[in-house]
Amino acid sequence: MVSQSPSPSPTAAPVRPQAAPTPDSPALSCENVNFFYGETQAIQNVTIDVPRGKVIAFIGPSGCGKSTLLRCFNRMNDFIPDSRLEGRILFHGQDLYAREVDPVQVRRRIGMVFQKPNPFPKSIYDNIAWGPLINGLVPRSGRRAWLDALVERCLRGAALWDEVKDRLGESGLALSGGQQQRLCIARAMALEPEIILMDEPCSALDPRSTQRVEDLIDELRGHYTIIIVTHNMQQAARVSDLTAFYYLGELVEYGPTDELFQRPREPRTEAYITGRFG
Amino acid sequence: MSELHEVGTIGPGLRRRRGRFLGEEGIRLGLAAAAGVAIVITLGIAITLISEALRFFAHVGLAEFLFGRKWAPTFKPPAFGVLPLVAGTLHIVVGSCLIAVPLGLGAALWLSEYASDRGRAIIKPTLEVLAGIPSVVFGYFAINAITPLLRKIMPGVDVFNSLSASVVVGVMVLPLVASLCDDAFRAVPRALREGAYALGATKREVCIQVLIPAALSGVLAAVVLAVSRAVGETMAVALAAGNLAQLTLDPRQSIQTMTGFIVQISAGDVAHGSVEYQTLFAVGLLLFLITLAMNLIANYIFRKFREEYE
Repeated sequence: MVSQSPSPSPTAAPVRPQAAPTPDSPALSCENVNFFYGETQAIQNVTIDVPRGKVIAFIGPSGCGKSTLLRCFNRMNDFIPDSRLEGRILFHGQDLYAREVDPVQVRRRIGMVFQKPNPFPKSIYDNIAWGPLINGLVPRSGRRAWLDALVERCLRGAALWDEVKDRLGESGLALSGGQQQRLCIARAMALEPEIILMDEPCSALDPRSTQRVEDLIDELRGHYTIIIVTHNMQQAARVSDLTAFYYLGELVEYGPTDELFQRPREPRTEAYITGRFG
Repeated sequence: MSELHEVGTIGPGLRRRRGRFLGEEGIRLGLAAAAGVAIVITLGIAITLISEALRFFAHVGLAEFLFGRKWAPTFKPPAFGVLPLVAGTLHIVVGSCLIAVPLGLGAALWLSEYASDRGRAIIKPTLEVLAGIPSVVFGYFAINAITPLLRKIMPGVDVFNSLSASVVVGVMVLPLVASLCDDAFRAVPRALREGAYALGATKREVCIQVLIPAALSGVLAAVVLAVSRAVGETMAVALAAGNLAQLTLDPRQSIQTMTGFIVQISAGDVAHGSVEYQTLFAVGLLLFLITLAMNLIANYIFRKFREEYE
């Protein structure tokens, strides 16, 4: 997939459900996905179904492809020159990499939270209002009230409202690292995505802030499908319903978190979770 | 029995060796002198400018110089109002920035956000070549190419005119603006772009609403440095704009800038020590103060806005 420009062409069709979603149909499914950086294959033939409304952890040693796969889900890898994807990633039955799909529309429906908190150098309020504004989601009349309500709802949803409600005009960069990360989660929620991808969201945070983000993930369970990449196995065990273990670009084992941690079927999974490598 | 060292002497291996010491000191002093040359020269120039300018102001009042509307130091009776020269310089500054800032900003955005590695590998060195062309060549180019073109498409353009000079100075400072803005955009963390794209932003929205605000310090500093360059640009302007010191708003007419005047007088035959001769230093000092102020402003903007962003 060599795509230099993620700009939408005006004729590109938005992602539309093709098969009627049922409560049981997966939020996202990969079919035989291979991903290459130039000659290097980062993901090997991964097939995985991500169920709706659950928290799914991607674990594995560094370089196992878990972040790469996560970034395939909202087409963030489009920005990497000379990279290419094979196979299909289905969202509502629509292949996200089909020619007619606009990556901008994909990213509106599948949100992302990054490893390092990256609030915009704008006010806390504007950090949240920006996504809906650029996507034209704000109604013509009563903009201010609509946005005020949205900002409050998202900040409450991200368990940040009480800490910042008196200083919404301050720069998002003035917050602590943990607060910044929750602001980024609130920012993602403002677009009401169906899926939120989290790429090691706590790796830059102290234990206390990590705790709060984990609590937040727990609260969001059921409302959003959350896929979280983490290096921290305890974290995966604490927050996720399902865990997928990747090794050298392969999906080694995927199943309910309790089972995977207590009775791993694969020797490689067992070796990793007991700390023998990685 | 082995000999015991006397108390208070140093073992032979630890003794400071004289040659080595001199070598180290010599290098240190040599380097310090090299660094000091810049300071000595700057101070020397500043002192010469100020002392000669003070002699000028013994003959001509400061108010007459700064606010007088007529500049004719070599005429009888002479007039020493510097405003026409300042206005001429402003012509060039405004005109060239109208060209260099939008084009430079656009080129920088294209280079940092849109260009492929290949495109970048072609454009970036080309811009550097453009920056390396001597200004006298640009002046010649203005007279022989731009002015005839302007005269063809616009009525009433004089042979020497400020518009042609502005265009050519704009082209000259374009690489500076493009290069500094490009640096500023590339200094914006990738994470910020990704955060914006992940919210469904298009490239245009990322450029205009995220990158430019985030890189504002660098962009503004680039603009101020461009102004500073345009103020100080001499040869191209002296050639293309002529040497008619007049207060006018019309870019089709000839003007004279501060630098242009200095060239004209330096090359001419005014008597050493005369008031005409001293005008050089008064104008030079004014020019020096303006560019110094511009550079200080650029520095201040760069630091202030950067702090805000980090």
